[in-house]
Amino acid sequence: MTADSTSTLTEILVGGISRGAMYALVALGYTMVYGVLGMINFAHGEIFMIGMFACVYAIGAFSVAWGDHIMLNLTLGIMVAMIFSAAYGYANERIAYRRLRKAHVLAPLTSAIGISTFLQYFIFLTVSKDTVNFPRYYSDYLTNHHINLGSAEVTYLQLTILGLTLVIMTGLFYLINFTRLGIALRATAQDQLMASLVGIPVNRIIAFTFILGSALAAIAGVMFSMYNNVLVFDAGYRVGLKAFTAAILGGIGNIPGAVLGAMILGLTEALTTLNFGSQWDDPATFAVLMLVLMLRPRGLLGERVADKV
Amino acid sequence: MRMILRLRPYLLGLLGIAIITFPFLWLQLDPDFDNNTIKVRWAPQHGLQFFDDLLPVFVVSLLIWLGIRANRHWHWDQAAARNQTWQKSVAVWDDYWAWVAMPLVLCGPFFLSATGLGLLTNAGIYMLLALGLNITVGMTGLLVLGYAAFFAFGAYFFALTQQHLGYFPWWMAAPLAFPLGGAIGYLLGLPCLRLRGDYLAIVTLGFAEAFREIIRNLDISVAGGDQGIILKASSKFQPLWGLNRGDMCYIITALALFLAVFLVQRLYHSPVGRAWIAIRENEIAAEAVGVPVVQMKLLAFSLSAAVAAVAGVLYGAKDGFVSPALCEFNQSIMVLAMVILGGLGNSYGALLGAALLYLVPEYLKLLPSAIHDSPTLSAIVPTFVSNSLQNLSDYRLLLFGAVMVIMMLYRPQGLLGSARRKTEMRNA
Amino acid sequence: MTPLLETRGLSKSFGGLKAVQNVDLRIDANRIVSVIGPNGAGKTTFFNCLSGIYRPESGAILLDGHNITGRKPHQVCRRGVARTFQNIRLFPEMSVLENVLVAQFQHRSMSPLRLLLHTRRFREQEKTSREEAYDFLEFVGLEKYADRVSSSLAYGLQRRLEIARALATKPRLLLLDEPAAGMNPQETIEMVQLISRIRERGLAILLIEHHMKLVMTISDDILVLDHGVPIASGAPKEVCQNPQVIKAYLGEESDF
Repeated sequence: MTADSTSTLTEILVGGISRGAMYALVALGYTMVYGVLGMINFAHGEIFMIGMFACVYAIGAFSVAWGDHIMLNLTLGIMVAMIFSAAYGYANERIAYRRLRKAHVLAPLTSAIGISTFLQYFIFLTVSKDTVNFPRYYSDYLTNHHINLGSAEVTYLQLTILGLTLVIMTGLFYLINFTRLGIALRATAQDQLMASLVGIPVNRIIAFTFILGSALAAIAGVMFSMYNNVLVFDAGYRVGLKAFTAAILGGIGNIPGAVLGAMILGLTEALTTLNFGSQWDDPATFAVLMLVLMLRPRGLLGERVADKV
Repeated sequence: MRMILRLRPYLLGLLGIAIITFPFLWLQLDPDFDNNTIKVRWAPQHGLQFFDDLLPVFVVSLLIWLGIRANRHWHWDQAAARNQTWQKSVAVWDDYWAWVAMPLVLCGPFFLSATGLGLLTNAGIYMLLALGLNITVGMTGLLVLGYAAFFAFGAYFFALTQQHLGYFPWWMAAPLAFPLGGAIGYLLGLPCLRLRGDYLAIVTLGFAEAFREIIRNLDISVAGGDQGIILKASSKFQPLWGLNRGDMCYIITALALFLAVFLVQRLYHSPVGRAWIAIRENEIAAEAVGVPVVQMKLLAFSLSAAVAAVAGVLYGAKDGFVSPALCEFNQSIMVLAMVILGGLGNSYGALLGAALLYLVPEYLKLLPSAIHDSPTLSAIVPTFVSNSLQNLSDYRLLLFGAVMVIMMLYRPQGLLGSARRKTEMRNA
Repeated sequence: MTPLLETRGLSKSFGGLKAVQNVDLRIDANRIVSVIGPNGAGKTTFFNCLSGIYRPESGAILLDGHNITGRKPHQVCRRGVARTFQNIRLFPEMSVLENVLVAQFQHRSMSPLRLLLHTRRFREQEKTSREEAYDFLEFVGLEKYADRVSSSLAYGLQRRLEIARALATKPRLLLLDEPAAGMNPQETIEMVQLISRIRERGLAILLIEHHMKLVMTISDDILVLDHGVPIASGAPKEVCQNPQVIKAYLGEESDF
């Protein structure tokens, strides 16, 4: 994503929004888990990374099984990635967090950091110590075709990312606001004990939150690895950090906030890259984070919650 | 049959884990460069290697587990628990044993090899870091995830200043690094410590990432870029009184560590230390009895940062080389794992954790060559064991991760943590 | 004479809910004033405003004529207002004695040299602190539990410890939030005695309590809140005959 001289401002903006959309998909996982459990699921970035690798493994397996059918293998690959990420997300919750739900905040957070480190180095040791390239045969199909938007070229991949994110956001909005499951989710977020007393299966709702968030992260993972053409064991940590920052920017626990924060971050990155070069992404992100924390401590859309005394 | 029923959830869990790890362990990615696609290959030797390398770990864990089971039966740690009094934490003098240890430790150069001294010096710097981080994470209960940034800050402050000034030895840098590190900590803590919640964790993490990128990407002539900076000989530790450079590194690190232990322990057993614990246990109540919570948190955090900055100067003076790698996330996680393993809130626990987590893998790394060199050992120890020992150091971070999870689940108070900390971690 | 504590038109709301509206209260030195009212009347919110945990929307809190509105809890405490909590908030894993020691924070010298080197002055101070802390424990009758973990104390004793801890900040005004909640009659009597003894030390006390008998026996003045609005105030006798108070407690359609 380097800014060459031919790219127009519109292209930079579209690039920024696409990145933002991918961050948003990851940020949702952070913010939903925080909303329900009040904990930072530090290992969420690794779930994203698992999704990346699972997709490439699946494509490799399908390629051996029935040859390289781009659309079929990609679609199935994304599905496998979602299933794997969801399984990892569920396993994390089951093994590392469930028993610590009533513990001091530090306990589940530390446990999550442990899981995060473990998964990173598990992939590092078993899959590759180096970067792996996303098979170009597949990604080129989406990155080489584009439509023209005025003077700007918008690739199919960017369109896919934006379209998918839009569909997912709408679905999520509907799910949370208008379904029984959504009501149960919101009830659990507000008061676990009370929710369980009125017959909501709290454990299952929490597991569902993890599974949903993980599946979304997997989609982002696949898109991200196609976008940048590389997979690496610590990609999840880097993107996770960005997405988490996005969640804080928007007000953690707040779903529209996460999307807004992610878009802001994506655009900040695009503009930093344009003006100073991509190596200044991280400092710029950090500067934005500090600025927001100083001006609006609860995030852009976060509400000030009165402490229970 | 009942046994099987009882184990069923565990067996199902294992089966599930086996399924979701299957591709990563037993299959290998095979890029097909001709067609720009990728294939997957059945590669069982891959997964077998993984388990073979971890074999010593499995054996040791099994032994530990059996030990815990046996203890549950015989209760040999109960005697200690019964005599536990809570008054101890108001005692003023609890560092007497450090006075006993000091002469012994300082005599190290007379009976240790150069390799041993080098390892202990590095361990000493990690101990200093663990001690500092423990103030924030252990005593005050605030999570810091980017602690290595302050370490790197100290090291870079030293390296850059000595580059620009003609003469700037470590003993001038260390006293300056302390207030500077503290000031950086204060500035970072100010916006996020006013908020409740875990913002500090993420802000320090972001700071570490940003700091690393900044020193990497500043002009090479300014901060050395990825290559880092080599320090001038005059800035580093110097041989003195017939002691060589390695001895001096060791002795100065040890002295700094003792000084830090004394000061931190004294602070811990003072109204300030009590205020920190009070904040950790119940922030609202602490505020209501007149503890200025924000100031005390800032104090704890700046102090942590200051200790790390001094450790950074010592590291620079010892190694003569600083690079952006000092502020990798792995470093922060390693120090955090040390504090957690040793016992949150207990300075001596942090020291123990640092010593264990640094020295055990290092000595394990040395072990295979020792086995190889000694004819008797190489005759006794089968080759596959020495091979897996050889590879074990690659697995260090994987194991740290696992240790952090297991500690949180089964012994949240750490190795030397008190029962006090356990109940606190279990029921918030 | 300026009153010890005075509130003028104190209001606080959460979203649309007006928890406390326009409360005027006056506490003179060494008096016991009670705030009563049905559940949800805004009594605890009122307390939280006084002790600095909430920032009131409007109105002023004056301590000795000085405005302390919007001060942080520890600053309020430093000026001589200490409190206990309705849901007990001890430092659960500290010893009983340590709980009291923490509360002496503001009276201890914070000179870094003393703290870091543990000079003789420091050790003397530490010793006096502990003796003082023992005195406070003795005052509430907890001296023999000094080394117990505070969360292992029985419920009633935990309440007493909270009071000892509040006293250790050396306040002039003590805010007690339902000190007798969940206590049996015997314990309640002991609590009344304890409160009177606190007053004998020269403190003023502001009390939230549901236990009417307790309130009527020891209060000098009573303020009644209903839905955040002060509906009556005055001496215990007057207040309990006030028709509005009876209505608030028993409801509109009362057959009594």
